[in-house]
Amino acid sequence: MVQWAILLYTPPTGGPRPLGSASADSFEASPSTPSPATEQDYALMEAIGRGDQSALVRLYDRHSGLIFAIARKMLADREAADELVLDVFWEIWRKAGRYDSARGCPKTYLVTLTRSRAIDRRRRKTSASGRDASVSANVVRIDVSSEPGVMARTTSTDPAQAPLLAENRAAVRLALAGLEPEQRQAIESAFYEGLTHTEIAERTQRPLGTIKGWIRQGLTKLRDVLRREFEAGP
Amino acid sequence: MPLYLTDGLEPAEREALRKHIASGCPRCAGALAEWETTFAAVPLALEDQAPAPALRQTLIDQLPAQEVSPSRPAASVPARKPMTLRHKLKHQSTLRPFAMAAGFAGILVCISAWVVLRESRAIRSNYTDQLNRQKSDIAKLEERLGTAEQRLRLADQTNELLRSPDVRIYALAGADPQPTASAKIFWSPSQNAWRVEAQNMKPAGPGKTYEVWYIPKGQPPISAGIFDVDATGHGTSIAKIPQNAGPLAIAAITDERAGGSIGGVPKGQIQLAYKAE
Repeated sequence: MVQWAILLYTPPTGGPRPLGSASADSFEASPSTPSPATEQDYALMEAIGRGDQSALVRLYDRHSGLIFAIARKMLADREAADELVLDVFWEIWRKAGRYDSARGCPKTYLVTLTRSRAIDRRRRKTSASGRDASVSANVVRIDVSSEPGVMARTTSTDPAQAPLLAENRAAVRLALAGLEPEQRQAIESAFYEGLTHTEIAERTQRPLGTIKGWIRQGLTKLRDVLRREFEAGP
Repeated sequence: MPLYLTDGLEPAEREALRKHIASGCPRCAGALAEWETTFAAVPLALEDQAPAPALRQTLIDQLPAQEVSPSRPAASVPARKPMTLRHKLKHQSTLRPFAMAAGFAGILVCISAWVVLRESRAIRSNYTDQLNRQKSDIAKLEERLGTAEQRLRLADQTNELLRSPDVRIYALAGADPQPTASAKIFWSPSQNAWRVEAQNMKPAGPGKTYEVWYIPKGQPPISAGIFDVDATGHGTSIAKIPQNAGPLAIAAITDERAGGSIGGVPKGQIQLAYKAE
């Protein structure tokens, strides 16, 4: 069974899911309750909002490995990636009150925040080094396979989480592998490089409509596969 | 919604959807949450990597110091001789003025501290508000700068195209649905760049987009780009024409389903057209 740590959320007609409650329409490991890992994350975010510093440190222990992996993928410099991790968790601390559980689980929030801050850093770096009219020249080409020689380990301090994380990673890789190569590349360019559709079209020399179709179809397929993986249950 | 999330909408469309979601539509808010979760799942395929070991402590050190009440050892008090009642009364009457003065002083200190604290909180709140406003302004300016840079890049590309010795320019005239619309096509076969600049066009409509067609004589139409127009009615696209395409007989712009025509066959209504002599 794939224990699904991501809450795929479809709201009931009445409105968004309030923090701490379960919805029969939410896509989770069991139909009516979030996974234990996700509930822990929600509790930590709530505690951070109350000013609990130890909760922030526990959240760091649980997710800094993923955040750093994303930062490393998006930024060429390891030192910049470390700084980004620090910025992300510092921002979580400062703005814990702004986290809206209805927008998605804490892990989604962390990933989205990390991507956004990484793109900001890349744009600042590009502006500082001078405007380059060629999109392909100023984009860091991302090799989506694992970097050789990098020590990869789970940084979760809870040993029980390691198998769950491995399962989730395998499920997402399987879902991505099920996409057409061009769909996957377009989505990963949009995510890791922060390219707009127009920029992807210019780089790949494909019509803009084609790129939009790839991304829309690819994300739809990804969503459907992740839903099915989740609903497969134990 | 996936296009909104991945920066694939025109600015006007993006802003319209943003306002709609902000208005509190529960269905769209829920849909956005699900798509955000899907998009955020992409990096979950990565192996976790350990940041610098010192980072954890650096984060802890950055956090504000939390107040801790130290346990204080009991002060040793020298033994006192027991006082008689007369001595107690005399002692108390002597101390009373000093006690009252100390009490008043203490009250004054508390009031002053409260006033200072309130003022400093108000000042801090004011600065925080100013900072937040400035951050918001900076974010807006950065967005505008990004848009301006993108337009400048497109303009540079157009200039490059115009400098090509074999560039051809075709003027498309508006058809019945949009008689006041106009478009120019800049085509350089040597650069294989087919660029469309459309003006004064109406938005394509919900679920629709504009598609450009290169139609060689006696051959089926070839899709040559799609675009949407911004709030000023301006739209642009760039595409490549297959090398083996025949000479251009007709260039046209039609309105098609969002994402472009299915199978490269125009189904929509002609909005603008050019016909070769």
